[in-house]
Amino acid sequence: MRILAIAAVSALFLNGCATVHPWDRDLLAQKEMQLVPAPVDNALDEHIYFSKEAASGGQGVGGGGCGCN
Amino acid sequence: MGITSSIAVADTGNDSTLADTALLYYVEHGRVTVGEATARVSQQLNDDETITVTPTVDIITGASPTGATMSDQTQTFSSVDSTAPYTLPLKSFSDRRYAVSVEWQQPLDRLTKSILGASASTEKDYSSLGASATLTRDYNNKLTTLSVGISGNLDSVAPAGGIVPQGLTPLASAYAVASASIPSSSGNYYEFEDSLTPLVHAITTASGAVISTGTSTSTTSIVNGGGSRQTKKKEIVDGIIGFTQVINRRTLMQFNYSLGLSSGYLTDPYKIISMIDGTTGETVDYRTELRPDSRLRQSLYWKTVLHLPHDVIHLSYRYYWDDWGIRSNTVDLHYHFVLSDDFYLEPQFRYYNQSAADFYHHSLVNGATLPSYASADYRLAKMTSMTYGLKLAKAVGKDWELSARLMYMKQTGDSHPADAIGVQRTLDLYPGLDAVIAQLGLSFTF
Repeated sequence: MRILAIAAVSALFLNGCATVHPWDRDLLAQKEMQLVPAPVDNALDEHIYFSKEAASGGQGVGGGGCGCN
Repeated sequence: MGITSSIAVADTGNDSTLADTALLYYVEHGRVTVGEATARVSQQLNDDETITVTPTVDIITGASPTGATMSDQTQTFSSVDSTAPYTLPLKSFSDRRYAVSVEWQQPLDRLTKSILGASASTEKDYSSLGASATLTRDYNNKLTTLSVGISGNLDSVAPAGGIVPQGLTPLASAYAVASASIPSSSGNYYEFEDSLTPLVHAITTASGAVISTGTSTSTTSIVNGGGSRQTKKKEIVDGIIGFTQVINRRTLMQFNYSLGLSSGYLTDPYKIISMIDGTTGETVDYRTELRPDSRLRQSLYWKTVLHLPHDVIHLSYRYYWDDWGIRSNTVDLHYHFVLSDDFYLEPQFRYYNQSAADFYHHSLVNGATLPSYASADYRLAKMTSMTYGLKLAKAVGKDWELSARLMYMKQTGDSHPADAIGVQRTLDLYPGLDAVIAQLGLSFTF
């Protein structure tokens, strides 16, 4: 069900998004517009939350294991 | 390690090296302290081809909850860990973790990119080896990026003390030496990470009487038989499929679906669970915990990055569910407040909640039928966690950036669950957690 919903939303976006020309991508090219602008902060946070909470993941694959959970 | 978007890639120039370093200090109120140092070093090899190496060292000291529930009586777990009435039983330990990960990102063609990763980490009692591969491809004039990734980890746990305890077993017999390779002794041992401390666990009643719960209090010690520590394996496979979409000139969105399977020894060899008298609620014994040997995890993740006239907002939501019965919601918000060209302030807020694992019990009734699995690990309980943070960063010249971050994390749960028995109704059965995290960062290119 959820996957279907995601697919539906995606289709909407794919069709409904305005075209952004390459010369209009100045803002998108900024460092703070990256999906993960501070990868070290993100990795440190994920490590803390992984060791203290039952849920984990979602952002990507890879990274080290830990005996902390 | 997030899936990157190829739509917007910061230009660090050819052949430049970017080092992102940080020192982190994590302090829990009355429990664990962690010092962590990490450096993420990225070397650009060619256009769009980079190799990133991230070594990390963690130094962990303090005490963590044993899983035993609070009592109105003194609980003695060893000569060093005596727990006063109305306090949470903790176990002292120290550890060091060394980890390194390597990531190689390279374009396969104009629209396709691969990211290959490898990781290794080691602790006194735990080691992990991992590999990952992610493929991304741009569509729709590079406004849409599809990503597919897979990773595998082989972990192994070798409990300090050399023995993997029998699950859901009274401590008096859980540590009975099973392997002939480990010299046997008559004692029963609870695992303390630094030394093989014979378990002296007992309960002192209000009148001062000491009730031993059947475990040896002798001081004979186990001699670890030359590298013959028992080990258990854990295999973890994760997959992710997602896409990133440019919505307009100021907005980017990402959607991911993740599926992961952990199998093998998923029990915490150090955690125990209190056995409670069914009428009085007093602790009468302890057993080791036991978890299922597989766990299927799934999550949906949505993130949006929005450029306001000056500032940038990062907002994400994750819904997580697994076959242990855990359901969780996470909302994460970062507001990147641009104060000047070289200075920004970033308030951060995170809300997290989870339901309890099906086999979570704050304690078990002594003499009642044992469940198949049980854990009193508070991390598997129903709880809510809030994190408030603030980051300050200042660019110094063209190539340097200094940053400082301070965060406060608070976990709260159900201190007075409906199934508390007798004296348990007066006790705090979920004491919660407060942690302060301070971080200093230095980024530079050379």
